[in-house]
Amino acid sequence: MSKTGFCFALLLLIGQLAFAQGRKLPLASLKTLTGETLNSSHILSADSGVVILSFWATWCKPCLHELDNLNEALPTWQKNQSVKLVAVSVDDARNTAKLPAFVAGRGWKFEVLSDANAELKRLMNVVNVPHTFLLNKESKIVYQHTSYAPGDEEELWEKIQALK
Amino acid sequence: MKPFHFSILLLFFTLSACDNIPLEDIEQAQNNDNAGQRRTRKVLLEYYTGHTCGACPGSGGVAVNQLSGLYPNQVVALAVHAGFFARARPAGQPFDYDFRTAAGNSLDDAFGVSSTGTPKGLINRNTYNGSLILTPSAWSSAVASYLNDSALVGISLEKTFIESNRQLTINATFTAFENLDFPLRVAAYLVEDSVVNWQRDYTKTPEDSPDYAHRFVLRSDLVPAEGAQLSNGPQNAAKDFVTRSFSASISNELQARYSKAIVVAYRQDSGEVLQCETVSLLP
Amino acid sequence: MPSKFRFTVCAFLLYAPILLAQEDLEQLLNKAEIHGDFQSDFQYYQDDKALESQVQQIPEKMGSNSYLNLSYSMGNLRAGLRYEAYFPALAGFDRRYNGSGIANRFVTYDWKGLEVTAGHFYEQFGSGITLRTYQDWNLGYDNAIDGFRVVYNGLKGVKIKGLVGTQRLYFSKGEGTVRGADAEVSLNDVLPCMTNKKLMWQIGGSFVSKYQADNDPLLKLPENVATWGLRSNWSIDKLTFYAEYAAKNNDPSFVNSNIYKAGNALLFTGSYAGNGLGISVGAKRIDNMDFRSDRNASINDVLINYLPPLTPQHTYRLVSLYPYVTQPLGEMALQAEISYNIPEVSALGGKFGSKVTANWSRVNNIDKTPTNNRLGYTSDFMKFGDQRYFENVSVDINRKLNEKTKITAAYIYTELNNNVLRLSDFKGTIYSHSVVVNVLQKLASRRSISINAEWMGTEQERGSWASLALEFTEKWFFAALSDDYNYGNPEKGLDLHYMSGTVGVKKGATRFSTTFGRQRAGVICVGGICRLVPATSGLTLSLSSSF
Repeated sequence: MSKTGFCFALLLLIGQLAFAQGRKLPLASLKTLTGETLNSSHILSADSGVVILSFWATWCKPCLHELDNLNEALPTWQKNQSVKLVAVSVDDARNTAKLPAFVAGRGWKFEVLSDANAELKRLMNVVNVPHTFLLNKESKIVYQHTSYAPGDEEELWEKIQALK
Repeated sequence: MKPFHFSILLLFFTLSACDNIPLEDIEQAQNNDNAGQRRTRKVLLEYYTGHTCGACPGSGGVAVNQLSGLYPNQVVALAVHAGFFARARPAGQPFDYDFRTAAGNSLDDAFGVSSTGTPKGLINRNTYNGSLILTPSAWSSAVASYLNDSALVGISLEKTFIESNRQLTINATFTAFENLDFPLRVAAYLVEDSVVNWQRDYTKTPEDSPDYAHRFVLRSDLVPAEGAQLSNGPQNAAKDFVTRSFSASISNELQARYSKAIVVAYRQDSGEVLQCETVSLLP
Repeated sequence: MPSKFRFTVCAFLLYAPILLAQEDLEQLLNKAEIHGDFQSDFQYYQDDKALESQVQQIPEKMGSNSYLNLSYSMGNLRAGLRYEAYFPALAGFDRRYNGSGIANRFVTYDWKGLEVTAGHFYEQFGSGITLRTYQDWNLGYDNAIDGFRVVYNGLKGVKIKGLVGTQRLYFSKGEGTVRGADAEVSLNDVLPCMTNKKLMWQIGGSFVSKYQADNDPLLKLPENVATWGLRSNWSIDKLTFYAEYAAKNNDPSFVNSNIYKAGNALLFTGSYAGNGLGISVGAKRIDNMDFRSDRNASINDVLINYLPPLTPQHTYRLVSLYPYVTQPLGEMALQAEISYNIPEVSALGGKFGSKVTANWSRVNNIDKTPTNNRLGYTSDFMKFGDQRYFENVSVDINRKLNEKTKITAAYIYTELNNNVLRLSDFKGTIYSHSVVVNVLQKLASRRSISINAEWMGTEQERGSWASLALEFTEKWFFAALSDDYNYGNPEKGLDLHYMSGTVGVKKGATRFSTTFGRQRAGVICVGGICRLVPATSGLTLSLSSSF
């Protein structure tokens, strides 16, 4: 059996392990827009609802489109079930100081946290932004997608409804 | 130890760490080069530059001049014009002179120097503290690390230059001062000093000057007819164990009185230069 | 490995989950997790006569950059590694990225508020001006510290960090040793008088020092160079203020031409975040703050700290031709930005509302008075120098026209002093006006198209450009077509079209794309670090995923 076959088998096993059970949210330090340090467990829902965790950056236009659309759709979704949206910005020190003003000017009604040195981004193996995760009531990751085009939030809504 | 106390200790440890050098202590007395010794190891300082490299004269150019001036009998300088900042502009414009040579381009490709930015240099084509390609601020330390070495190889040169037909012949005799357990190769270059032409210098106003005297410019490769191999395997200590002959027809463009030939003996396995020697074309 | 052995191991690995009893498996899997991510970019270069004069000859016909991150976590233990391969590195990447190997490996253990890491780690103190180690794959930047780090989080509101190690330098290590410590305190949690106050106040301090032996025969160089910093963040109601000051003692190096002057930096930002309105202002001073673990290093090698630029980060195609990069040797900067969410059903906002952002930023040199000794110069702390490095005036409007259409329009004016920035050979200041119009149209439930038209007018450097890019997405499929036309290039034969086409697929966290065409020379900048991208022509394949 060839070397590549061996590696492939190993990756398959890894894949099985990974998909066999939902991934938990790793522990990392994040900051709020007012400067307090929080543990990433703060992202989880207080009332066993579903959580949408979206990684974005001020310079990432598709991220802004996604969050604007989620901001609009969220009130309607929340009428149906408990859905929490947390947007984690991976902007570095160049833009973190501007975040509170930027978010205010965007009119977003959900929580925004700052991951300035990409600690949580690395722990969650995020390669590019936007990258959005859906956590179920047991706080396990059940769905994720990267990149965004208008309408992607409809697929997200389908997955959320399945978790009701 | 409680974690909190450990952290405090670590803090204290790092706090006791900085040196402030008073102004009057900055310049140091230089080591005298030991040129008088028979087994002096000469150091090859290869400087990669380009005529539109504005950062080069202020750091690289200054360092080359300083080191070759301080250790005239131990430092052998060679300036290789290669890479992006050595490209020649179309004829009639400033910087239209092409300083690049086939020899320089192949050295640059082999060591991958100019792609890391210029000015850069190689000292005896050997790593210094883990790096092969060095910025000018590292050259004096790198050169100093060889100054007290006893040479493993000796080169003695005999030159004949006939001005009428501009024919140059050099006979090089190589000595192994100790047993060498690696094969040796030779390289030889023709170098011209004081080539006056355009150079960009960010430390000057105006930045572009047509009268810069380019030093130690690599002009061509003087590969011997018998090839570059000096020994094929281990070589016992022996005086004059091999000779090589280099001949070339010197072009009319070169000024013979500012030109010299450099002969370099290096290890085949690592490329490290073990000895170099120079001889002027005139007198 | 002998093939029979390999086969047995493979069979075991593939079928083990079935062989093990269901409960044992659940227990094991509940504790252990293996995750990873990878990206692989491959390029094939074809000869393009028109680009010959612009491009440094790429001797290899192709290049590829790939990495695989793997991490294993079980309970309080986490271990991981990153394998990187360059066969050879893509055009524009440093040639010292060559071959393959494990570029990063670490083990972390978390216990009662104390986290200990051995191996490579990434860390940031404050805003990074004393220490920041991070990694950016597209930039080819990685200054991870390989050593030992301790983070103590046990007391509420207090975080103390200590670290020591050497920095990554391509596939080897930098010459110097870095040691640092940082403490951050949230006064609201620590001081009883602050507990229920409206004012949120955090303070922090950091100390970083590096050691590198002095073997210079001509100069007495300091072997230990330190940078220390103090920072404070105040937040009350809708206002937030942040200030950070850092100072460095004598650090003669290649970058600062061996001067013995001390360095200093000051960062200040203030912001107001109201209801739909955000205003932020910032001021910055940098004076001789290039700080590396090897005094002889250059370009982006072994930087210990990170000096954020106080200029807006534009990602429009043409505007990104002239990005500003912080000048570590000295600069003074100011910035002001307003973001406003114009309400729906208003005269200005339209039926669905609009979002507007306006930015003004300016960077000048510092005041410098040369001294005739090794100190280099002296500088008046509060004075702005008279040389302008950069200026930006920009307005961005984003408006939703109807349920299916969104328009973005932007105007950007920049002035960039190329004698200082040296993005190219051009001498002088580059003045450019840019206009961007982007229409995002939803065609059906999961189908959309984006049209991006840009114009950049400038009389300097390569002259004016016009660009058109179309992007189509349908569920998991996407395609794009673009043309950047350098119609204003003064050099004969260089007024070229840079056309390229992309097709790709994406699902979940996986993305694969193929691009064919001509790519113009430019700069990729992330934060304050840039990589020059040479003009190339050919095929690019890119695959990325995470699991």
